[in-house]
Amino acid sequence: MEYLRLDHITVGYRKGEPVLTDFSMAVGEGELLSLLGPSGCGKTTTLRTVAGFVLPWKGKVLLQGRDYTRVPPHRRGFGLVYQNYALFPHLTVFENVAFGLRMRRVPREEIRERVAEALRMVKLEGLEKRLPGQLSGGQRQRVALARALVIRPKLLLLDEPLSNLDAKLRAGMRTELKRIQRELGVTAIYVTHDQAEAMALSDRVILMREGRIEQEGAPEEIYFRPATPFVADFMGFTNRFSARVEAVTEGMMVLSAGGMRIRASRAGTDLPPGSGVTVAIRPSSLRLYRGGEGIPGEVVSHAFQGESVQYLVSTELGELIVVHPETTVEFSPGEAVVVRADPEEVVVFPRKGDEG
Amino acid sequence: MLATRKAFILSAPALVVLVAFFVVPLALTLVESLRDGGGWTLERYASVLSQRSFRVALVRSLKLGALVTGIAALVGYPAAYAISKLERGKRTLLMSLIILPLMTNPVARTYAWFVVMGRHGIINRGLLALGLAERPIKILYTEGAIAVGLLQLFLPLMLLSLVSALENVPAELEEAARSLGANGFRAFRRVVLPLSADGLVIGGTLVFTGSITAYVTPAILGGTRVLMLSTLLYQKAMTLMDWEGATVVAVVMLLLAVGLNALLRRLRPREAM
Repeated sequence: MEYLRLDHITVGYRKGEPVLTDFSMAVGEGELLSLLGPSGCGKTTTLRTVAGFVLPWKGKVLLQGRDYTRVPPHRRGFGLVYQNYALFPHLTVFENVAFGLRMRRVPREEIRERVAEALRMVKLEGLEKRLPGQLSGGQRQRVALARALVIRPKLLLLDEPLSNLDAKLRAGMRTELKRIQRELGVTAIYVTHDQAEAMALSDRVILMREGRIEQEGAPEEIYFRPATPFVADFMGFTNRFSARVEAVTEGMMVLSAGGMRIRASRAGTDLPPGSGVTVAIRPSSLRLYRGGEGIPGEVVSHAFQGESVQYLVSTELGELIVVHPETTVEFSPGEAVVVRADPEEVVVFPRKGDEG
Repeated sequence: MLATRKAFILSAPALVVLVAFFVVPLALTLVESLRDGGGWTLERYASVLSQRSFRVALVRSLKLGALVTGIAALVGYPAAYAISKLERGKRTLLMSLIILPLMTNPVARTYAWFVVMGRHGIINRGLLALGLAERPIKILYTEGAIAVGLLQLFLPLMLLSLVSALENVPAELEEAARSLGANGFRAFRRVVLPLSADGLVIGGTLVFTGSITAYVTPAILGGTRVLMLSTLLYQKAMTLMDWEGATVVAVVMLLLAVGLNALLRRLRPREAM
């Protein structure tokens, strides 16, 4: 069920410099949609347009078919959570959470109940009387979430809500955020530049670039099947080299690069033999072997990363980064190795200005 | 400890100047106002405080001080709010324009009002031309003239305090309030105002104390008849050669300023975190 729709939105902050041009997207009811992209891609502007803080130059914002384009922010009833929490520093935790209810002139008794319920949901019982300055970052984020949820928002808008938390806390909050969103069934838009976060949380991801949608789909789709070199780059397909399609058979492609053969499945099977392509492979999709078929190379260096080991391998195709999910270092610098790729995880893009 | 000592050494020169040329004379003035030959007396205070001219000047000073402070706050808040929302370049430009009146010569600046408020000034000529008055009305040498002059002089102080306070209120807070259902006015009253109240208190203190102690403006725009405490003090000291009376007025003015500062300091909201 389509819930929210941005319809051909053009918007910006300076005249003649639109951030979004003819931008359209939809969010399903109860869905958690992530807007993912590097800074400056327009994801925050999209969120602010939905929230009503920037007025579109052209286009419409529709919620359940109703035109919200000109509805002022305070009448939209959307909950907002900011990266820096934006708690009211002069108000206690209780008053922060109660703020939206007071604005709605909810009876006092009901305010008390609903604030208590919201604080229970984010596990902050007992901190009602504290001021935001007396809370940890994680606690502040929970207050911000409770404050946005207590008004039973028609839409929950999250602007990089976890970026200010340390890594450990972030992972915990991620799970919890997802649980709460599921429990309440609230439709949510989540803005982030962190692909891991988007993958972990979202039902669907929209990857943005320079005010346009670069790719849109389920997290797995974006993760495994990037549609453009930009998405591949953003999603961590760090290894890239040029190749040529040699043969295509039943969904399997044989590529040749620097005289070596590489197999790729699925993607780009419509490419005729002979076409020039760019190959993109994640470091974790490559494996090192001591012999056999593959790309020969020499280990340049290795870096132990706790749960994995990263190798830098010099080959004829340039330097490749290989990550082994192992806790021990198996190969040492100077060692001759063979690099092999899992054909399922090799991504191929047609190359512009096809050459040899 | 080291920090304290360092602070002391660094502030010593300023301290010496202040003590020698401000604290000591002030103390002497205070003592002198209470001495009578060999003994102590409050008689001078009783005598000055019972003078009608003093009471009129006192009430007028407080009234004009409050009026100017109130108007400065009302006029200043929206302007300061708008300025604080501007981008850096435009904000800097406007801020320097605001400070401009403070940098012009006070006598020239005040006499300039004669062109506007005088018997044959712009306002009167306009009124006559429009047929709104039959003969020139009196604008100069009234409380209103003094209030306008003081407002021109001290509004910048209010604006500066408010702008710097408002700059420290993150825009997200206002947006958060709006998203939670507060319209513009309620977001301002519940969030922006309490968080910028510090600037209002500081600005208010500056404007009020400035207004009740200013001399040039009431002297020129109020003349010798519409006296405020400061002009009364001058009259007593320089025209009437009533040095003792002048001392009493000076002490009263000082107490007013100090007392008001203490009061406003108590009004300051809990430090925002």
